[in-house]
Amino acid sequence: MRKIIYIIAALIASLLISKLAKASDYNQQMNIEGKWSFKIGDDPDWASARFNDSDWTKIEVPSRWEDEGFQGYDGYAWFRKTVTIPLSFKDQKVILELGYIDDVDEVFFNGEKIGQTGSFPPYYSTAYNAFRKYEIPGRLIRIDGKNTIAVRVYDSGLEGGIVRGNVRIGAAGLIIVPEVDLSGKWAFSKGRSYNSTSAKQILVPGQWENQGFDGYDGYAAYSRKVELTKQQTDQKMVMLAGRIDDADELYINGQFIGSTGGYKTQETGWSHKEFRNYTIPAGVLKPGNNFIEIRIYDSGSEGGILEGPVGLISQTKFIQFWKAKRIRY
Amino acid sequence: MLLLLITSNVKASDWTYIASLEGQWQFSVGDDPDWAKPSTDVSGWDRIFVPAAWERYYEGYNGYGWYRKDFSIKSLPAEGPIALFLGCIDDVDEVFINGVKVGQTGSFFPHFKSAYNVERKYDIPRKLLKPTNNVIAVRVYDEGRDGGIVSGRRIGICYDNDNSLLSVNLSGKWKFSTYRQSNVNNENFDDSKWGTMDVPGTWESQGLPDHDGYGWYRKRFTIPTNLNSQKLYLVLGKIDDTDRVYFNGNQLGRTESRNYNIRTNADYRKNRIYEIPSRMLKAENVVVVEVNDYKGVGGIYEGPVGIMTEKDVEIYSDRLKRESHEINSFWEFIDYAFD
Repeated sequence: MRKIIYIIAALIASLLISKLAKASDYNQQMNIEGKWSFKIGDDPDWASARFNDSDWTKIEVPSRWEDEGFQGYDGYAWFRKTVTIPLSFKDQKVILELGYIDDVDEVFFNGEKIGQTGSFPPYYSTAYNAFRKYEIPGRLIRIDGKNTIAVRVYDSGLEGGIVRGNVRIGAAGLIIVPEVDLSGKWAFSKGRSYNSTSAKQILVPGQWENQGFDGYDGYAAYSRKVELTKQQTDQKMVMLAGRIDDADELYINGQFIGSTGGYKTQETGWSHKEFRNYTIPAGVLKPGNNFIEIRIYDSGSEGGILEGPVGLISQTKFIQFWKAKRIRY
Repeated sequence: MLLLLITSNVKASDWTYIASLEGQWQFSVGDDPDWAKPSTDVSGWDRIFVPAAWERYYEGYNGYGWYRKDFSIKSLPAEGPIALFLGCIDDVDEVFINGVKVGQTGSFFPHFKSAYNVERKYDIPRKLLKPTNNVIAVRVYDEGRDGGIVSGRRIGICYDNDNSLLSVNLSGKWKFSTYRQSNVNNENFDDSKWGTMDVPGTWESQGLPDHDGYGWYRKRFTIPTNLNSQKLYLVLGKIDDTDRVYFNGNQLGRTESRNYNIRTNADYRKNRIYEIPSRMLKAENVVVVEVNDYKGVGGIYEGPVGIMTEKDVEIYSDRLKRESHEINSFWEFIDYAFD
C-alpha cells in the first residue's frame, strides 16, 4: 500500500510543477490602470482614433464611476486612453484585459471594433460578471507608436463602469502573422451551411454569445470573401482558422478543405483547445474573389472562432514561423 | 499505465534490426509532394527526436509535418519478409523509401480517418533497399492534441530471424473474406472471388479500419517431397484474438479461451503452433484459419507463419519460453508495484 502512495505522491508533485510553470499567461505586460478620459453620453464618433478627447473628465480605472463624481448615473458612457505599444510586442499575440465591466461594453482599437461583451439596448443583456479579455489583431497595432483604446459602456443600474480586476495589455508569445489577415467582420448565420438571407455581421475572433447570439448552441456558419492576387494564389497557402469551439469544417470556393473535431458526429471534448492550420491544395484559390466558409458545431457554452490568428499565409512563411518558434533543449 | 502495457504487442517474431531508425530525424511543418523525393535538399530542416510527440518541439502545432532520414543497412538476409516499424503515428501517415510509397495508415483529407492507436508496420520490397544512401520520408497529418511519430518500442527496419526456421514460408498474400459461408473449411471450396490479405498484418492496416468479428483466411501450398517423412508443424505466429484452424478439411486445432478476460486470457498474445498429423498431409494442401476479433486490431498479425520441422519447432519454442519467462517476471513486477 505504501508503494502506491509514493506513486500517487509523485504524480501529484509532477502535476503541481507543470501548473506552476504556466503561472503567467504573458511574457510581457503593461499596466494601463490609472487615469482614463471619460464622458457620459453616446456618440459613434468617440470610437475614432483621431477624435480629440482633451476636454473630457479624467477618472480612475478601475473604479465604480459612482465613486468618481458620477453618483447615481446610469446609461451610456465612454472611456478613452492612448497607449504606446513597445517594440518588444512585435509579432506577438497581444491581449487587452479590461477587468469586469458593469454591464455591457464594446471596445475599439484605433477606431476599429475588436470585441463586445453583453448586449446593448434594445436587446439588453448584462455581462457584469464576465472578465473582459480581447485579442488585438496585429494589423491594428502601431508598434512603438500611439494607439487609442475606446470603450463604450452601458450601465443599467447600481454601480457602473470598468469596475475592478486587471486592466492591462499583455504579450502572449510569438504569433504567426498572416499575410492576408482575415480578422474583423464576417457574415454569420445559424444552421448547417451559410445562408445569406438570414446572415448577420459578426467579429472574428470572438465568441458568438457576445455578439447577439447569447445562449445559442449547435450549428452555425461563418462566411467572407477575400481578394487575392495571382502572385498570392501561385504560392502554396495555409489557412489559419484560429481556435474554434467546438468542431469545424472549412470550405474554400465551395470545396471541402479540412475538418477538426466531430463536426458531423457531434463528438467534442478536446477540439475547442486546438488551433487550426489547413494546408490548401493547389488550384483551390483563384486570383480575384475567393469565398471562405467555416462551418461550426458548438456543443455548449461559448461557441465560434474564439481566438486568432485568422488569415492566409504562404507555406514558406508558415514554415519559417514554426522554425523560429521551435522549443530548443 | 496498466492499459498501455497490456495493449502493447509483446514480441512474437524474432525481429532483428537491419537499420534502427530511432533518434534524430529531419523535420518540417507543411506539406509538399517533392519532399518524398530523395533528391530534395532538406539540410535546412530542423532536427527532432523520434519517437516523440512533435508538440515537444512545436507547442500546439496541428496540421501536416514531414520526417526525413538517411540510413544505411546491415547485410540483408537471403529470404523472408523485411518490415518497417514506426510505432504509433498520430493521426495519419504515408511512407516513402527512396521515393517509392511503401504504405499508408489512416486517410488524409478530404476523407480524413485517424489511426492514432495503430502500430505501424510496413512490408518493404527488398529491391528498394541499397547498402547506403537510403532515404525514408514520412508524411504525417495531425488533427489535434499530440502529433507525429509519437511512440513505439521498435522504430526501424527489421527482418524476422524466425523465418530462417521455416521449411515452407507461408507469409504473404492469403485469400480472405469476412462473410460467413458454408463449406468454407472444405479443401474444394471455391475462394477465387475472395480478396487477399497480407500475412502477417492486421486487418486495420489493410483497408478494414473498423472490422471486429470474424474473418476467414485460406491458403493453398505444396510440401517438398523431402519433408514427407518428417513430423511437421503449422506455425501461425500471433492471432488477434481467437482462431480455429482446418487442414485439408479437418480441424487441426484452436486457440480460444473459455472466458474472455483481457488480463488472464489474452489469446492475442499466444503463439500458435499446431502439430500436423501425418495422415492429413498431401502433396498439395489447403489451410483455412477462422479468426474472431473481439475489438481493436485483428487478424494474423505477427509471424512467423509457415511449416516447421520438429527440430526447428524445438529451437523456436525454446526461444519463446525464454521470452515468456521475461514477460512473466514483468507481470510479477506489476503485481508487486500495485500490491
